[in-house]
Amino acid sequence: MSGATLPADGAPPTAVSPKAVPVASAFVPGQRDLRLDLFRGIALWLIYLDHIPSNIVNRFTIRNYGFSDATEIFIFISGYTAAYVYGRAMRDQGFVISGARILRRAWQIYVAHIFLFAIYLAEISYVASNFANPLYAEEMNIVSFLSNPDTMIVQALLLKFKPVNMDVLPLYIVLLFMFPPILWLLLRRPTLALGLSAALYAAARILSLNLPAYPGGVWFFNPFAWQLLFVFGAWCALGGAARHARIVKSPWTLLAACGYLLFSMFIALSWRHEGLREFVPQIVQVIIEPVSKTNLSLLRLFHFFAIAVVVVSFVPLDWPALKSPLLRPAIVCGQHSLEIFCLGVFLAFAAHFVVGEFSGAVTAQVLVSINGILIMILTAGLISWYKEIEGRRPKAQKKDMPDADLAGGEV
Amino acid sequence: MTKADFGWALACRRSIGCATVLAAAIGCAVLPTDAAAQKGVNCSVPQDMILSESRLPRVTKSVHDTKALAIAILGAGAASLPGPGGKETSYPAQLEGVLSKRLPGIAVKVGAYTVPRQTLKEVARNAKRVLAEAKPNLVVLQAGTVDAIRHTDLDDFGEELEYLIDTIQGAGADVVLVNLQYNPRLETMIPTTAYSGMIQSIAVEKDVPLFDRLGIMRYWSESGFFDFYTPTKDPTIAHQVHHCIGQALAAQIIATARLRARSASNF
Repeated sequence: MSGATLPADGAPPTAVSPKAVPVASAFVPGQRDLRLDLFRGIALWLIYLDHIPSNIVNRFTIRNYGFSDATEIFIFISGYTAAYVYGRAMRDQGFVISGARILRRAWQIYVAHIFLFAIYLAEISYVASNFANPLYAEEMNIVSFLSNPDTMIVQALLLKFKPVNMDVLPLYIVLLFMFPPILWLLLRRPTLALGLSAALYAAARILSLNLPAYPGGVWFFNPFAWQLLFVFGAWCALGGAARHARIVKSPWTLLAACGYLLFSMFIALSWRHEGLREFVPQIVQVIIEPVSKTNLSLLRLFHFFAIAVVVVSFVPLDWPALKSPLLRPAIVCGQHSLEIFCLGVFLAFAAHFVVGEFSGAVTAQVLVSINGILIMILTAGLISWYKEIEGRRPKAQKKDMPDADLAGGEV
Repeated sequence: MTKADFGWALACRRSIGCATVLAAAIGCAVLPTDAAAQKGVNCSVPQDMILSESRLPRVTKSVHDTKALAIAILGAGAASLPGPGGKETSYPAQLEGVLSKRLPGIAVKVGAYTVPRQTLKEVARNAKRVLAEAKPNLVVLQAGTVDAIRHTDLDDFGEELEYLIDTIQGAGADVVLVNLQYNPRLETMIPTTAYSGMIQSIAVEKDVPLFDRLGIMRYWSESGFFDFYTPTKDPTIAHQVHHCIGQALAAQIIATARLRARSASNF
């Protein structure tokens, strides 16, 4: 969130390979910023809750109280941590090696995505053979349509067909795939890199650039638009935020951020509460509607910026609560984000199944929500434990390497 | 004050013909009616799910001036139920029946012009011809299902919806938007939330009433009135649901257009 932890102090690299390239904006990762883990962990919980359909608990997640939601937090922190981990690797080991590591990471996420798709396939096959209701004659077309495995699986492998709630990982894959040259430029000309990213965003918005999807339309998360948030996160991690700390921490900025958060909360509430709508002038509604998630509307982007400013202002790096056992569960989940994200998608499927098959009562919805988060915490703890016992082996220890868990966890 | 009362109070505060709305609102608060009641079905709907801040001025004018109301059901996907008797039991026919009963002396005609498996873009292509043919005062524009199944670009979907609303209003008719059906079994397969969110956004932007079919059916499900999850080939539930949707939609049209109507519980 804040670049204050990553001073651009020009400290020399500890092990420079022959291919290492000197960079204009050197940086040294400081201590692990637990705030990143904390907020990514919370974002993972919120994404899980939002992915359970007809769940009373997700009426209380942040998407109901503003323009942006947990996806922005997840993508920003992913960009931040990717730069944190691979930026140093690129400086120390050169473009080719660090680029290869980034692509390997993209491959791992691709495999995880296909694994989730297999689970989805099992679910849709079950529904296709077990469900019938004349009320849903039109909707059941989807089941017969999607259960054509010959086309559906190929389109899924091409990342063109993406089941509901499985759009984030393909976005992440494309962002990582594009990342090596972006990171190369960020290390040398950070402002230029961010400017190019913003230009691509603008071009995507103006020229309606997006990737094609199957069976029709385009990607739900337009990578050409969402890359801006990812690159912005990386830019912050590489000293951008530190260089502009005065602006970020200015009381006027904080005031503007709080004002914008309140405004967006009011508008978001007015979408669901008819009574509040009369207080929103029609011209305001016409200007702001609809708030595009696909193309990362500026309203969403600024809403995320406002959240980040408030968080940086009120949660310092050395916030004592970060060490408290109360926040530990979220932090541990954030430290293994790829595994926990995938688990969350699976658990959301499972929660929907449980609520539908056994009980749709509010109590059941609350119970599956809580249990899902508990399973995420326990799994994250288990992964940490595995890493810990493996780390005790001398050969398994990695020397002087930023923890790849920050970039979502090496598999 | 209950949630429903609160919604009602807000509507009343802004209302000119509060007494008229009161009569209509009482009707919509007690929706179980003849056929549904006989079948032991409770499909009441909270008032705040029915009442809308938007108006239907062309409907109001037509009913007052010409004592006639022509409604066209337009949009993506089927409005009729499959099987024998599907047309008669589907919500357009139910809507016509309920409005005729609740608006005595008014000639109500409801025509369904939907085509199964059509996206909104395909609907828009024929909209002008249908409007010229039907000459409606009100168009019930249902949207979302087919586009969600086909993963139409969400922004394109929104633009198409805006275009259709402009076209309909340009042809001299009011619009009521109808969103997707609630379908708990397929919720993880059809991106319902994204498309219903877009429909709601467009309704707010264009200041047209939204008949929240999704929310109402979810309310019926959560209240235990209907089981939408258990597989069945029996069309009874489908018929009952369409009957109830006809009731609720009629109540919303009456309340939003500020029409003097007989209470739903009186027949």
